[in-house]
Amino acid sequence: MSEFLAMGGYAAFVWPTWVASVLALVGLAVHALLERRAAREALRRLEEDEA
Amino acid sequence: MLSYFSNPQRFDQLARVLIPLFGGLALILLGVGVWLSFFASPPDYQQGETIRIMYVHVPAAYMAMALYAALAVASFVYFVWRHALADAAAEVIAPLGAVFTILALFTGSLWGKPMWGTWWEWDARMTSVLVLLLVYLGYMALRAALEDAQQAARTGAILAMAGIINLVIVKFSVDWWSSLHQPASVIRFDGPTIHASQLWPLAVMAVAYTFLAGWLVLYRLRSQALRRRARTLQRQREQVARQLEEAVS
Amino acid sequence: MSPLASIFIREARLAWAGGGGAAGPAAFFLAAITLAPLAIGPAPDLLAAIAAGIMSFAALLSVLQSADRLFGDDHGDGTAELYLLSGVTPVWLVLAKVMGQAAATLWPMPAIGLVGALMYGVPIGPALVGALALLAAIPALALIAGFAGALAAGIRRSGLLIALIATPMMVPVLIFAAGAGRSAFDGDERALANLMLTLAVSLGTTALAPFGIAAALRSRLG
Repeated sequence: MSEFLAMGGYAAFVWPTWVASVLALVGLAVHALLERRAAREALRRLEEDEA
Repeated sequence: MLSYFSNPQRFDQLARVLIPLFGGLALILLGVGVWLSFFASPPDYQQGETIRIMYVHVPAAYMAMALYAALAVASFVYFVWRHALADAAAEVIAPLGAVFTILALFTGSLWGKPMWGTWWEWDARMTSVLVLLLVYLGYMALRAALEDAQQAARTGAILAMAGIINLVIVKFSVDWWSSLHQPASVIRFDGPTIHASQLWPLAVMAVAYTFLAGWLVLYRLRSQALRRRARTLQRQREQVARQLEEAVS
Repeated sequence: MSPLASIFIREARLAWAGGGGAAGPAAFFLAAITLAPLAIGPAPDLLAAIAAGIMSFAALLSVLQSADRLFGDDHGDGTAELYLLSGVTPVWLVLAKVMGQAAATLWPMPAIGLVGALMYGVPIGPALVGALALLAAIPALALIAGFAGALAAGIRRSGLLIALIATPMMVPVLIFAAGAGRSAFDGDERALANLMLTLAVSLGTTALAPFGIAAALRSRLG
């Protein structure tokens, strides 16, 4: 396991790239989800006021 | 232009099918890709374990470029046919492209350090990606600076189309510029002789990234539709209020 | 006098008269050339080696200085609409405008670039090549700055936005123009190729940019 984590001595290079990638992709997805919720809220409020 | 979004049924129907499909495919392929990248492929003969960086760097760089191509196509479609969905797509794609570009630069730098011994190398590829980042930022800044939505759409489309022409020329000129000096590799490697066992993780990750980007674009497009509908409602209401005021006075 | 000629002359006169005319970009160019060695250090070999790059880079930045005025002023006072209604083909009209301003304000650049290169210790031959490259680069630089200015016409404090939009588009002409001077200095036989490429980029830009500029102006009038 520790051998796996060490990545042949290149751990300081390999792991940050993967961590950054995962964070970026997850971040984009989460942002998209939150954005949809906010948009639905805003539209719902406007349509309620109409009625 | 905005009338499309007051009746977005066609897009909704398509989105309802494609969004879960793309999302599911992205998750599965990412899982497979991670497994292939770490467990099913050996360390490289010359690069050692740093080859695993390639499995996130190349897909990110490819996505950065593919998304700009998509941005240019969407801009062209909007410019010629004035289809509101195309403009919404362009607006949604740009920040995604910028994020992938930054990711490509970051992972590229970390891949480069063991390879070239420096955190940054002014080689053709990385320099082109850096210029691509500036192009994305310029596009986003221009759209943000224009308050009128129609102007932002039209002007943005022109800039995006000029940008894709420019990027082709930039690629050539940067290749030319770097051709006198090849960066000296600490690890000598003779170019893209990729082994089959390395091709699979790379391909799977690239396809996974593509489906993820597709999911992101469609999902955000759906939110854009809601936002634009809200904007129309808001404007209608303001117009009614103004008309009432004029009638009273 | 043809309408295009009168537009060219009007623009040139305005650029000359307003804000010191030729003093604008030229003064900036001179300032940049003066500051660079102060930042880089006075080592003669180093300065001579990077002279071509500094001249091109400083020239590029100088051209951006007046970019916001070219179409910004017209956008603000409605002249842009008049231009598009005038019946003169927009593509030729914007070309005349940009070239008018360029003629009035950018003509000293190759000369300043030549003197600057000499001051940086470049021999006369390579220095002349560098100046020639600057001359060849001016149409491209002016038209790209014009395109960025048209896109951002009338936006307040658009200087930074214009620079951000223009710089990626100026990359090819910068590479070739600086490359010409550098190749001439290094003696690596690519000087002529770089010069030709600079000219090619300028010609291509002259052919394409007016369409972009006209489209941009039209899109901003809505």
